[in-house]
Amino acid sequence: MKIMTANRLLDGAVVYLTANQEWSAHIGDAQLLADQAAENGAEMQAKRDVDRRLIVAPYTFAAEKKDEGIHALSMREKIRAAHEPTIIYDRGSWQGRI
Amino acid sequence: MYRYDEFDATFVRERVAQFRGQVERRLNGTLTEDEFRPLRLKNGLYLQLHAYMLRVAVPYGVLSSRQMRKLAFIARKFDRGYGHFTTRQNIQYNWPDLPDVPDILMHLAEVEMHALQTSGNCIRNVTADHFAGAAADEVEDPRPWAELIRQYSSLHPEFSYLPRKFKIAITGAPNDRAAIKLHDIGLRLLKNDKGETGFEVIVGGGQGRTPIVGPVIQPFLPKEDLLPYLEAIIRVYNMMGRRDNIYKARIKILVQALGAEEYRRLVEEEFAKIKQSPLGQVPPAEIERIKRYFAPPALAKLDDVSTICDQARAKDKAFDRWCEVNLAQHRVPGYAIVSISLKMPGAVPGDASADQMDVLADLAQNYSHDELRVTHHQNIVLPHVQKDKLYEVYSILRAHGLASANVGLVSDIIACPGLDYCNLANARSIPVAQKIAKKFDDIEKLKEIGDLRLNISGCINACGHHHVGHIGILGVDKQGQELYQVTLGGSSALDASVGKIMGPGFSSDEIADAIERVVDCYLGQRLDRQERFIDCYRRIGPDPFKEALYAHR
Repeated sequence: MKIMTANRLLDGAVVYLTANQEWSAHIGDAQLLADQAAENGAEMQAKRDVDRRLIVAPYTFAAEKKDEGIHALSMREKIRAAHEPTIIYDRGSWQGRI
Repeated sequence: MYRYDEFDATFVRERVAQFRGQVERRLNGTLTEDEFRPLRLKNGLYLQLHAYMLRVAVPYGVLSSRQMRKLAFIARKFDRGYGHFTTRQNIQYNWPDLPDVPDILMHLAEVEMHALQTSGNCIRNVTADHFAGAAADEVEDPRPWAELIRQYSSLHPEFSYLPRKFKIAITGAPNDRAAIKLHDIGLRLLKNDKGETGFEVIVGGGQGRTPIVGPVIQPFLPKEDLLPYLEAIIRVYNMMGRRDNIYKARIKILVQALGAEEYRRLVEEEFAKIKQSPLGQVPPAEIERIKRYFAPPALAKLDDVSTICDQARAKDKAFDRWCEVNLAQHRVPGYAIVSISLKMPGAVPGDASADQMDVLADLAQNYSHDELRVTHHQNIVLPHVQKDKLYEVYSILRAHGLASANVGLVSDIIACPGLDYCNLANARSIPVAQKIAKKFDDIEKLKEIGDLRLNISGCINACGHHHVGHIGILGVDKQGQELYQVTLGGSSALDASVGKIMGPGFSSDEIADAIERVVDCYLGQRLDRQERFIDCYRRIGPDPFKEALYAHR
């Protein structure tokens, strides 16, 4: 299945199209697009919201629904959904060392 | 360093006002995204994975303390408290909001900085030897020429719509620290047999999908011919470069297709015409005006040996180690060039916090004649530090976690932002860099291994310059999994070479161990401690390393 994503115009933040035709930062809120008709509808909504200056660069990607919620399948979309790089900042371990 | 005149200051201010208007029109809908995108890219503003990214130009890598403090201010006020120094000597902010960008540009303009031509199919930031003006081996300071090219290429009316991006690098030393053979145009100041100084001109180098070591098309170009010759090179490219396929649009593709000799012939033909025109010469008064900005600072007359420094080294082994690794010889006795590693184990390669930037600014102001450099290895340089003051500098760096003694060693890893930040990436590079740095986080081990350049790119665009790493790592996506290919034998020095792929890739769990096997192979095969990794590889070839990498499979 697919979900529709985009970046918010004002700050570039990752957002997902919900069943209420709104844009949420949480992937768990995304509307699952079960078939081509649903995808077409989402694309039309996304285009309207590009014109309304809410979002930019919309596209769909593969996701799956599990008991605990909706998950992206690819690493790229998992990183986007986290809204943060995956890096662990270990600013402490080298303190006092060379 | 160069200071804006009234023309420069007005130009940048007007550009900020222009972009402010463009952002307003984007936000009120007068401009669509398709219309706005090329405009924001012309002001260095990308849309990346999580947010916008602003790439700020640091012309030929030179910063004053005032400028570094402004970069810190911008990081605090408009971003998340840090910036990323890049492999093109620029700085990137990863989290600006669109409505704030005009104000960011306004702040940059206050300190004579901007984000112009850091994106798009134009001439990008001219990069230079990060030891320029200070290095003991320098023939002539390349920075005035870098500044001349910067002015020449800013909004050049003929070259604002090139087939693709265009990158120029310049060095003034025989020990090339600017990777000139891997640029669209590489320039090296050198002396001919008559003792005259001119430029060796290299055209058509590059990395990315098609890594190529650029050929020399002009072994000695008189200095006064620099601008008309550049004009000829770029004009031929602009006229003949491919525009049908962005992956075949760089000048390197054209030079390879025509052959270096034919390209040279076309350039010389065009150059001969330009020489007859009013643009036929670098205006002598202009280059002299620019050179005055780069006059050497008033350095003291000192003995080259510093008793203070030597005594400190004898007492403090860590300082001694830092001096051994992070200093380079200055052309003036009693001074040293200090390289500050932004590759502390656990940190993100090339990132500096706003607090660290302020510390670096203070150090520059108090110890280095107010000057810093950004290197394309993603480190920072203080170019003019008295040897007597080195221990003070080191102590301050150490207190702020900036005293890693690993410059040029295997944990001084050059890494692109990768899939953690970048829209183009296929795989993450930073966590891999951190794993490898942690594996080699041992002073004695680093010392044992010696000089070793390790570069990591998260995709084939090669922003991490992996092709020219002694060890290169390229992250790819294989059926949804991140995989890391190893290349060996690359070099960005004057004896430049492109690394060779060793074989199948490694997972993110395997790659650090794989690199350790490569290094162990080198340690087992080298003639002695003086034989560097790259020299050992060139002597024995890839087979022993391939065996080390894959024998366990």
